[in-house]
Amino acid sequence: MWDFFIVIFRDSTSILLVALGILIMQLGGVINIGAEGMMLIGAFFGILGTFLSGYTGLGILIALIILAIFGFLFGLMTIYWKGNQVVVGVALNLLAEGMTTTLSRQIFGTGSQSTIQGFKPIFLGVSVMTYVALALVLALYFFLYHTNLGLRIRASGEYPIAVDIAGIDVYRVQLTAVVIGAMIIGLGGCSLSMAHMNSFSELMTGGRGYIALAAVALGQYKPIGVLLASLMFGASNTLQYHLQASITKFPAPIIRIIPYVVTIIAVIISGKNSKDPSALGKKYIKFS
Amino acid sequence: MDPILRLKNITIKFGALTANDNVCLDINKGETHAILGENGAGKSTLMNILYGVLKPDSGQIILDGQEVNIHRPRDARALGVGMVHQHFMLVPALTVVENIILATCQTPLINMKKTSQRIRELSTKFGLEVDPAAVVKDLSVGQQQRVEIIKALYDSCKILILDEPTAVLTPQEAKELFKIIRQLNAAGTSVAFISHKMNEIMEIADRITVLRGGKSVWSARKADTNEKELARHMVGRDIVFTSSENGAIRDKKILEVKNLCVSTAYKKNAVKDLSFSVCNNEIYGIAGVDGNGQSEMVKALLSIIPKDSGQVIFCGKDITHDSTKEIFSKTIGHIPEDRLNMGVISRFFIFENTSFYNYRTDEFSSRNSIDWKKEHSYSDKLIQKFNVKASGGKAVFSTLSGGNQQKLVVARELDKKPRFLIAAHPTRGVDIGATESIRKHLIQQRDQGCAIILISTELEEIMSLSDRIGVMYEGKMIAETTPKEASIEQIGLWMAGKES
Repeated sequence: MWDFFIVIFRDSTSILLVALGILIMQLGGVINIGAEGMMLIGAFFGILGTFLSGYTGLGILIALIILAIFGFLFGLMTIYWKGNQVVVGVALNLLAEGMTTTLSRQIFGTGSQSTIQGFKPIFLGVSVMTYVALALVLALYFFLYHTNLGLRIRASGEYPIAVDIAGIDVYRVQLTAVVIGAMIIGLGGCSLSMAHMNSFSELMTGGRGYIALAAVALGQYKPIGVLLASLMFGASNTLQYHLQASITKFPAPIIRIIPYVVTIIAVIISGKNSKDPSALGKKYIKFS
Repeated sequence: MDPILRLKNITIKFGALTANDNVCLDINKGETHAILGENGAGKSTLMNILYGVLKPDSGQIILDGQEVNIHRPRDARALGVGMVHQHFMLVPALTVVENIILATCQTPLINMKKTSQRIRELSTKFGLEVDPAAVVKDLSVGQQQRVEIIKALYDSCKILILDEPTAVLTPQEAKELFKIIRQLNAAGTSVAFISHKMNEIMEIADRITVLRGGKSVWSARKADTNEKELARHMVGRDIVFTSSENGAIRDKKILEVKNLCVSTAYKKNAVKDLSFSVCNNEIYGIAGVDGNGQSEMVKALLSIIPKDSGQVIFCGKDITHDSTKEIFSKTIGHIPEDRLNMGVISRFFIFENTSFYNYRTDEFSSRNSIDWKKEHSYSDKLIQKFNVKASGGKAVFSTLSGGNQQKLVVARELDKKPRFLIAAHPTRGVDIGATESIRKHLIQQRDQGCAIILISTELEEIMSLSDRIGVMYEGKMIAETTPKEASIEQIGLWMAGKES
């Protein structure tokens, strides 16, 4: 039983991190359909950085820097240049797929030469990434509800004109949220490739970015809610592995769709009384 | 004594329009200075300049004897100028404290306790009762306004600008507000009170400046003037309340509403057991504070939202369960309250907007394709007939001024030759010239036999246009009268829910 919980936590870590990143961006009013792509980029560059430098910490740092750049560009295109957030996000996903696949084949070939010495379990059978993710839930709660910037981010996603009239640069607040969010998502990607697995494989995120998007909605835009939703999705994943291993008569593909079916149901349930920020996805034009 | 604030020769232009033309204004310490003017006279523009939202093309702002530059609202607040906008600048999903911190806090961490404490201090000092922990969207409009005032006062405020503060209030809430204003004055805070309602200004102001057509035309102490004089300066001529009575025989009930009940997702029983009828050649005015079920009633009549129960009869036929499309295919017109969202597609061309009702008819289409040439000439015809200032039907709708946009909507609806017309706030936010023309058209239409529902929050408009008046309060028609029988005061009481 205890093992089962540990596995759930391990499987949920990457989704939880990505969901926290999406949470902060979307609270700021920016839809992030590109989370999947950001996660993939994080997963790849974490491995590549570690592979080249020999240090996992350095690998993560490189991934975070790359994600900060991508987040900055994403924010520039959507907030300042008024690109459609969904279109730019989808473009980012396509770019990430192509880029990581091509680079991975160029550098590592098609085999599993990208294997590194990843994070090992340190305590109670889970790696440091899981503890980082749990700590981030608390940190984010504090950030959003007890700091000025957190308040400004939440206000920008709800009613940007009030922020604007208070003399605060709405664009900068949103851009900050996007960059921070992108980096946390990147960390989620790293946890997938460096703690959950020990290598990068093509398109390894397998829709976790979208599942995280659902976790944010299901978690009603609250850090604790997002944690619980992520654990639920992680559990459905764990269940899927277990069923595949234990029930051999049942066709595997049908078992494998369990997490996705759960996601769809969750989205339908949470859509009913959605807590989406009021200005989510709306372009705001500053008057000053 | 030198005035605390002096605005000198403020000029600002928006394209061809000079919104403020050499406007001068003095405000003394601790006084309430009313700025009176019709819609579009430039009152809000002037105050937005003072608050740093807009930048003047020329002119000086002198505060406490020193010329100041105000580039942003933050500068204004640092100098002690606070503003309560007509549309509240509060984040609905956040609490009162959070909203105040958002506007005032400059430190990285926020201190809810200290801020709540200060809010309570201000509350007790000025009688601004409000719960700091409440979420703004749960508060009434009057309470939200108090939050806005606290927000403005939070960092010591010398001059408080109130932009049309009573527009959304009941007469009783307005009384409360006036009490607060007097307390502020006593504490040395000056108040700039923007309004176009003369009776309010006569009640609360110490001095009055009248703006007309972007110019400051006249200034006086309240004690030296009266409502009539104010009206003359505001409009530029004597206003005569012309009764629009026409003596036609009203023998047919064109529209009859019986026991209508409507609930929406946001409001249960938005309309409760509402009954009334409108005859031919009649304007039925519906008075009431905004948000008492007027817009839900209109939407339900037109089947835009479902009715819970009740019956709607148009010319003897039951149209309760007809679809919106079926209703509009009859001779029913609708001037919507929110023209930009409900009446038009503002990024489309004028001729596209005027084609809404006729593009399916045989006259304007053949073999399922629209004859745009005919639509062009039709829109040109409307523009001419209703004297809309537009370069032609090929202009984009949003390039028209507010008054002309509304004129065009009115033109489209009236050209249907409706037997029944719903006019919801037909002159809201419209300049005085267009207002006059729209009112004239409504009366003309009535004289041709049309039954009209006129919904307005402006009592003066209701009184001068209507043949009969109903007063709506919390979804019910709580009184029915005629302009001759009832005084404005009596209707005001009804609007506040006082049945008598």
